[in-house]
Amino acid sequence: MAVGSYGIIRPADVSPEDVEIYFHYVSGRTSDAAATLKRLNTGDVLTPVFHNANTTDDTSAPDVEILGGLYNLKLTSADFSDLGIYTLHVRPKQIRTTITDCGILASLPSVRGLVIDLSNVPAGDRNKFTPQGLVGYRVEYINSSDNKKTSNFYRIVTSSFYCTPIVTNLTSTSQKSIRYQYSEQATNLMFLTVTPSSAPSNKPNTVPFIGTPSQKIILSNTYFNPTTIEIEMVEHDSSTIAHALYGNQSKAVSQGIYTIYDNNNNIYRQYNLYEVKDEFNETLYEVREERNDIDETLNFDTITA
Amino acid sequence: MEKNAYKILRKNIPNVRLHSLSGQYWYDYFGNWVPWSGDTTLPPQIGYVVYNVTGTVSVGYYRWSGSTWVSISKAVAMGSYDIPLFLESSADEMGVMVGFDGNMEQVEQICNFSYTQTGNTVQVYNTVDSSKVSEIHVINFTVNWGDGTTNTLTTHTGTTLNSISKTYTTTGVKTIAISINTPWMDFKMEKKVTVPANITVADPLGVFSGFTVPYTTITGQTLDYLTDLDYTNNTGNTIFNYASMGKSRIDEKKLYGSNTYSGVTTGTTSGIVYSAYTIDNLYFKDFADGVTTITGATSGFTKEEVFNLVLTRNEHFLGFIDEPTIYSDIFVERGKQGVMEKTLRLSEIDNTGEMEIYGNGYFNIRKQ
Repeated sequence: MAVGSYGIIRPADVSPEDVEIYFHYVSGRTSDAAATLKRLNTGDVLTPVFHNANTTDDTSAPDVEILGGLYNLKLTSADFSDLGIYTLHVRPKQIRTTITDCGILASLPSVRGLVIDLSNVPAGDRNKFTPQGLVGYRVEYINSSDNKKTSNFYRIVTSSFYCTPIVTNLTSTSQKSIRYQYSEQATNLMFLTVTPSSAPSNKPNTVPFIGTPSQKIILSNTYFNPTTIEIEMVEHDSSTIAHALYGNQSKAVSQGIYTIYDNNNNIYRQYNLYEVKDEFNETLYEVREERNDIDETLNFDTITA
Repeated sequence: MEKNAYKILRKNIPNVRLHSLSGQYWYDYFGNWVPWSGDTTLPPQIGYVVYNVTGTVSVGYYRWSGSTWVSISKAVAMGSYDIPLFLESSADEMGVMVGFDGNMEQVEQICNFSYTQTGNTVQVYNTVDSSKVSEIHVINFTVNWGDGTTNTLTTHTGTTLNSISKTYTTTGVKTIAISINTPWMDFKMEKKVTVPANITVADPLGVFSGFTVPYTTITGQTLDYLTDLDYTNNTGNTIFNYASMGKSRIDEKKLYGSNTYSGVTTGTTSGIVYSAYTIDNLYFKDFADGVTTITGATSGFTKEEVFNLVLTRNEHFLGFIDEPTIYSDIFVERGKQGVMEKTLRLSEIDNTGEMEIYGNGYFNIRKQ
């Protein structure tokens, strides 16, 4: 045994089609509204960053080879326009299907696995069901009695190959048993070995559960670690506060309009200035009230020209 | 799971009162029209976005095109926000793999035999190679013929297998056993051999005669593996056809497929009706009398029957408790049951730790 330091984190190079992004919105930290999740189309909003001439000497890599790890997430104002807190959940895409059979290989009866009928797989996800295409996928199970997902329980796919069923006579009985054999040609059935599927050496008679026929399962890739992003949509940041503190300002004396400009001298905010007096013409209050429409005639360049 | 947080400043769009979609006027504070300057550097510049709050123009978002205000949606007016996202995955050991140099041979076959059969005469060959099993030099093996008689068979020392034959006087299934008693364990291997009543098999397709089990000669090649252990210089291969009696597999034609059988032809041979079909390149004929004949051909069959295959491994992630502890030599005896079986298959295990996971737990490793 050796002891050494090594990293186990690698930049993911997952395709956006293998990613799911959900989000929900609340107006503030104290909001008690129920979180309603919406799904984003990852093909539209998630874009991997590719190499360019500055990142590699390989002339064939720019704009073709994924840099790895770094992606650009586009948040459209159609979904992200209100002030408040958006929580995005980025996780591997899930594929839902059912177990056709839990079988064994005819030539290797000790090898147990799941048999998936590809016709039960969503058409858009069948391209993943290729020989060894599902290795590393996580299998999670739905309890058929209450349709709840079994918590804290999953299996990992260790191999996937096309298979065909064959009939095998059982010893000392007239019954026949369906077993499976691998097929080089594409078939409609796929045999998935999972781990753990064999009994531990300290209790050889306890075979791990890998599923039951017709049970619903969730297959999800393990191409990257799920992550959560919190986005707070705010009205002000340090730059806009700097406009108020250090930006150009004007006061239209006769009109009583107080204008604050940004660093490009665009009107950033405008306020009406007026006084509230009593019947004796005594000033009670001096008021600064934000205007709900901008008087563009008070453009800084215009009034200072 | 990590949590990333961002603060995004919502785009600032001024609320205005537009005079018209094309009129180059603003309303001033008193509601008067005030023309804006012809200076193109002053607002509205092309692309300038405003939100019209009231007036003669409908409420909504507008963008100045250079000559007119064009109504746009809120999504277009507000634009989009781009944030960086870093996705990472964790790499971890997902199993064990062992380097393999491609050299495969069975080195510790303790107790096994092969046999030939001609009619009711069975010849047993001691297949233990004492030159490769260091613990066995010349040991007398006991052959029990299954009819109460025994003989002694020694190990061979050269390239010719020692053999002994037996001619049975009765028919039926005979359990032939070969055994040795060693200081560390008693070994015994049994095989069932059927002594036929008539070596000529009546079959609608013709006559099978003179079969020697297993084959020792194939077309174009002389197969001498029974008496020649040298498998390194045999490079020839050939295709030979074979016929056998077997079990009907017609039920499989319908499994997981359509409700009707497909690819099944029917006919009559010697007055017996049959249904014929092909599965796995084998041609099956199910005759009405219950007999199924199977014919096929091998492809590139190498005569010495040594198959150097790529090492495969079913990965295991969990379930390991501890490594086996070895206090004495371990001998693995795994005999050959038929001529088609691979004889060399254990030496990819280069340590006992691997043996525990070899063959999906086929071998139970015991501590002493």
